Amino acid sequence: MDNNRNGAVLMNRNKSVQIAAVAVTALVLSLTTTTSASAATAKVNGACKTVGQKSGSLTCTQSGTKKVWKTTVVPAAIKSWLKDCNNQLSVVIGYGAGGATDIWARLLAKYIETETGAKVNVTNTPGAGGSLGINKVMSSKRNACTMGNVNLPSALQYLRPTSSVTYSKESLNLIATTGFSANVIVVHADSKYNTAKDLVDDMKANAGRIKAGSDGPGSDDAIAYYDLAQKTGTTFTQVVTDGSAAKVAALLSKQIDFFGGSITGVKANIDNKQFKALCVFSDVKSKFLPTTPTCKEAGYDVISTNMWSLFTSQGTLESRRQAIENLLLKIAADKTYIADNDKLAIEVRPFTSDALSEEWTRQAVLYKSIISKI
Amino acid sequence: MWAVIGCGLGMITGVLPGFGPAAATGLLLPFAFVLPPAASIVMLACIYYGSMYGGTITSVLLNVPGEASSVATCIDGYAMTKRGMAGKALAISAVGSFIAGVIAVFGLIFSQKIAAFAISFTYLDVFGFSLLALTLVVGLTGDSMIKGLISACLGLFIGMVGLDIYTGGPRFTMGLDQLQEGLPFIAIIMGIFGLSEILESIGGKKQPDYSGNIGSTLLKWQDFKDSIGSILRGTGIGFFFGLLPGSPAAASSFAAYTVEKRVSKTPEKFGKGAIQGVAGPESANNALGISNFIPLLALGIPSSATMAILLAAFTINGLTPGPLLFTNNPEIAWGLIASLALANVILLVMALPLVRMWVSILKIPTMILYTITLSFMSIGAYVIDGSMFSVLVLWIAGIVGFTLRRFGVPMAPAALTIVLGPMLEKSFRTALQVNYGEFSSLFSSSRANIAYGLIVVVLATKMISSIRKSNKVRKMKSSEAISGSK
Repeated sequence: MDNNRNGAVLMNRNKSVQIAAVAVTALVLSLTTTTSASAATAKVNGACKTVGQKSGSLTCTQSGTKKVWKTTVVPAAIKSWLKDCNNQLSVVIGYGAGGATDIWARLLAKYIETETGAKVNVTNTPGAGGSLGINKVMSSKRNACTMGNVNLPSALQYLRPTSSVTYSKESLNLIATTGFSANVIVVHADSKYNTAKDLVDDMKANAGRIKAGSDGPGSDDAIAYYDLAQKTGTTFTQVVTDGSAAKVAALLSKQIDFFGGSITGVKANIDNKQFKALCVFSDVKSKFLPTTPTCKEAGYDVISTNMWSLFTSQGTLESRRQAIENLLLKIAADKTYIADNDKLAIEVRPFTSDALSEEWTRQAVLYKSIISKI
Repeated sequence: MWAVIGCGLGMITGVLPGFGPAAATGLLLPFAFVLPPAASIVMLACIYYGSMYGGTITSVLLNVPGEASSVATCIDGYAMTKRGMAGKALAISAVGSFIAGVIAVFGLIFSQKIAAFAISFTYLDVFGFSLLALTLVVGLTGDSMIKGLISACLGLFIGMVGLDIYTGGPRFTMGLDQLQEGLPFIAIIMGIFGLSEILESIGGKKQPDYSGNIGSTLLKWQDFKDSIGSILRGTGIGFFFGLLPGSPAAASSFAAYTVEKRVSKTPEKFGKGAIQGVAGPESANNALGISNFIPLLALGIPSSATMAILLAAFTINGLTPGPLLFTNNPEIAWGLIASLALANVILLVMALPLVRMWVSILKIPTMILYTITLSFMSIGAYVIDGSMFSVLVLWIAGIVGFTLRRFGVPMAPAALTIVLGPMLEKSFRTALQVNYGEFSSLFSSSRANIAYGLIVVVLATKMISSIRKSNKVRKMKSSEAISGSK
């Protein structure tokens, strides 16, 4: 009998503990919801400065003390797009969470949500250098409800002789580019190299002994290194590391002498005075490193950049694709969007689908000529 | 408040298999654009930290690791559940995590000095210590060394699948694009531990009933006394692993587990529900969760995907993690450290009362519980890359695990070598590249040489104990034969 009573007490205790636990969980979830709501309001307040201000299809209005967006003119193609997708859009990222592409996409998704009012789900399908994500988008319905990222020059991996990638430029329905980041040569802050010339001179004097961090064969930095070696008549050792964080660690510990990495990835280390930037692999100076010359200015005409773009599956209505392209270009012109990207050291450099296609062809020719020799 | 939200969300994230902290923090990253800097960073940091504890729950109760770092906890945590000590296992996890977290936060105060030590570790040093960790696998082999080594080799093979990052060539990918990044670790682990357990139970004559296996959730003084050494050792190991960029979290908890087994006076109890087998890895796990912040805060190096997202949260707010953070934005740096200290208390306060709720899951009838677990595992596998491929891997791993269990092959060595294999290979090959391919350079680092020395000691100890054991058996047999002839 005592056992029964103890059991009953235990059950009651269990129940009360369970109820308490559910209450805690509910509290956490409700706090999250509140956060979400307040976050949305804060964003609106941040972007919508004056009543009546227009931003594309959206207009600011006064509602009590709160400013809210009110949808006015929405292109018919966008309307039918959102209707077909039931206001649920999906952006597939071919890389893992936390990488530069992922962060770029999540920021863009936030602005697409603001512009369209639709919910944009960003999902990660990492693998095979981004091609798994591309395959997933290619096989999605032809309604552009699912879009994906395509990065240049990473997407050119299909040109490698050993590649098993099945897509090419023609299999993708390109929309537009918004994100851009040039690569920069960095050395340790204590390094004896102060200019690109110092480095190149040392590479000539100590052929094969200078070590550069690399993402491996076929990667954008390996291509740039090959181009640099060809144009300077030097040879150096490439040390393959597992990702950009590993390259940063290897340079900090002075296991390598330099590496070429995206400005987005190394800006923090340059700001912290851990690294010195020698030259930028770009045709124009980077606004994030205004005092660093381009490699071309330093006498070495090597270009190595990253472009982040969106695409969808082939077969999507052209009018719809064009409307989405217009939407992305409008977002790319938004000063708040540019400012948010600036914080991440991502340059907003919009490319229309035609311009992107041309750039793809140009890079493919260069890539093919180099990859066959590596 | 943000720390509470972060810890709560993190704990929930950890409980959901496959839905790791990187996915959760990535999902909430846009908040960094709208929340004050301190709030967004603290919330994201606490999600990560909370998930480190959350992953323990399913490991202990269902033998399903919620995330990679909880794999080692499965071994003795689940065995404790089978012995009716589920509540105690979760309670020691919470207490061990708390102590480890508090100690590790003190370490954070000296971030800059510790970071200088961490960055001095070369690929050669990492190779030496990876080899040492791999040698410790002999401690996980169980009764049969041969079967243990079969399991270890299987793990090494699984870890080799994917693109060779040095040549770009495919290895054992069978022409499948999905295998280019390697087999999904979490799906494999859920398969060989959780799914194979379920298949084994279904195939058994009698369905297990754990409803009476909840046991007391209160720790006795003796439990604490038995575990404190493990907690402190685990803290040291986890803290050290967290400093090394790129070091997988699962490796630290496994290292803590194998060390506990080696130092224990009763190693035979490990694998059968030893409380030290839970306290050590769990403390290592949480200490790593904190020390992971050191490379980020002091050097600006994100040592994991979650840390990369946190780095983004910093930069979104105009902050630059690295040596100047403590000078230019001391309020953020010290605020984050204070929040992590607070997160420890929050987690303990949230975790201990919830232990009874979590263990009450075991009251669900076994077959229904298995159905729910299978659903969660399948969803978790799907979430990894948003495709059915990982679900297929989960099931294949489950069937392979089930078959191996039938032959008495332990699964723990495979889990360890899946993690350590790629780490060992990368550090070996990169160390050689850094040293222009000279093999003699492998002995040029004093730290690596110490690791090699320890390997010799470990192997010699194992050989001596094996010889002693076989001598003892021989003597017993001969004495039995003599007494028989009399």
